[in-house]
Amino acid sequence: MLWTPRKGVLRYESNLGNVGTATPGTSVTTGATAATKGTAVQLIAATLFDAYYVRVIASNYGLATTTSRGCLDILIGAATEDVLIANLLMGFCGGSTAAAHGGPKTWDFPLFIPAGSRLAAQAAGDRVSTAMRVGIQLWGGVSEPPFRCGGRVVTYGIGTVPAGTTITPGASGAEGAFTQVTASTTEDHFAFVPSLQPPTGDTTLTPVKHTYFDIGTGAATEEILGGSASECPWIFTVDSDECMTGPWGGCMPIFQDVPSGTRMTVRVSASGALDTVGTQEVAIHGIG
Amino acid sequence: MAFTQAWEIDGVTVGTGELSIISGTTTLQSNTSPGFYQLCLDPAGAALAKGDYFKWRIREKVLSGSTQRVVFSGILSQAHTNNVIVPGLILMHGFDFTLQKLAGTDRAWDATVRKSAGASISQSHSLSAVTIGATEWSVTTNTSFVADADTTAGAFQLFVDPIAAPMVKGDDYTVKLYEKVEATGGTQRMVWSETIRDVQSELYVTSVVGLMNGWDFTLKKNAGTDHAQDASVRKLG
Repeated sequence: MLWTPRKGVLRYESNLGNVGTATPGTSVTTGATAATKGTAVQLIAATLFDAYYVRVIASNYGLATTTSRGCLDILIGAATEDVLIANLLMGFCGGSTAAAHGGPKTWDFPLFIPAGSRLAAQAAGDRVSTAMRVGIQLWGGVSEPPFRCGGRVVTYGIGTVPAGTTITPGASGAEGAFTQVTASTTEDHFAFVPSLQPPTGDTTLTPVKHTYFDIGTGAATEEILGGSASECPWIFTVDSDECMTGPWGGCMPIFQDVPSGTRMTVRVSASGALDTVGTQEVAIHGIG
Repeated sequence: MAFTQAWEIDGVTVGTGELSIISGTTTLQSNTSPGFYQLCLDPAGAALAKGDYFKWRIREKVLSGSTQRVVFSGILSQAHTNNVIVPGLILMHGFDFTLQKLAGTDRAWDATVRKSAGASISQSHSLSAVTIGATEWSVTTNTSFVADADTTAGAFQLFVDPIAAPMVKGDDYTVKLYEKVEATGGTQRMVWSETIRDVQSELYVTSVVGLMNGWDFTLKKNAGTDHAQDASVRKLG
């Protein structure tokens, strides 16, 4: 390896608070209809340093026996804000206030957020006018980002909010079939992050179930992003309180150059039997 | 070697047309003056604001007869308070530095390109349309790699064009760098191995690295189709 001399503190800031709390993050309330984003809520007034790596944490929205799909936007700038990251599928996310919940959903982005930026969030979901928690963590403040760093995120696969692209998982350890999320990407991207949520009408999530998520590129037969023998690293889990958490172990993006105009697909594989409504909903977030 | 400011734009408005920092216009350039170049951008001075998205690109040809392509690019968005400097590239065969608005408001930009130049900047080795297959191939000898150990001393940077004979879905290539730590009695070992997969839209380029005791860059196909590759090793010093 070429071991570059990275000196100085990799700085960190967040909106999670500095002492123990049962409600880390900021309360964000979904809009009055399922497809309407609620009021934007400030997460950080002014970021302290140039940030290169961003983690979004969504929690406390899922509810047992209740359809809980949702879309979360991260916004930047003064009101009316610009959408920095659109439609993270936060649906059914577990959280910090119920013992049975496995945990939140997280998304990591190698994204350049200039110092002094105001960050906010807004959400929509099947559970209308419902408060959830949104956390954001930033790393940076050193001379060079540790990875290639982007300036824009494009979300593929969103239908009418809060729906993603419907996909049928392989059941009980079988691999699923690739389902097209976009016929043609609109920009060059160098890194990718997944989104997954149970579908509309799914009020009986079968726990405990792990769903493995692969992204494919190109026409059939697709190539799996990253090309690792272990395939993609993302696993989402449904807990005993019928909430979804993940990715299990973290949401490190896959870094791979994918040109504009590329067809992108997803396949998922569930560890157990499928729910009564046997599909899931997915989206892909491309960083460029 | 002299270090100079090769080009500058001072308050030049950048809109949806890709603007050459060399010419200060939307007529893109293909400059061939060899040098070690560094791009400096002032997004704060340009008063970037919420909703602005600008893309910077560095374009170059791998060989003198190649097609100019993007080496490296990035997007600057939203309001900024700091300057941005892009790590240096050894350019020589037909290059340009550009800015383009993707969304938002046209902005008046300041940008400079710094240059370290001299007779010691050159292309030390190259491959022109050499078919790379499952045999690991030396860029320095243009033969199959068998612990080839070049002892030319300098700071080197490898460029590869994976678009000229375009890589396609399922293609998987590795690029490796080998070097000896010491000249006498040292053993050549791999320094790094990187993977290029599927369709590509930019040139592959390495960091600048000092080499001298027995080094080589190699290319190898791990999966997919054999392709004719152009490659260029540039030398500084």
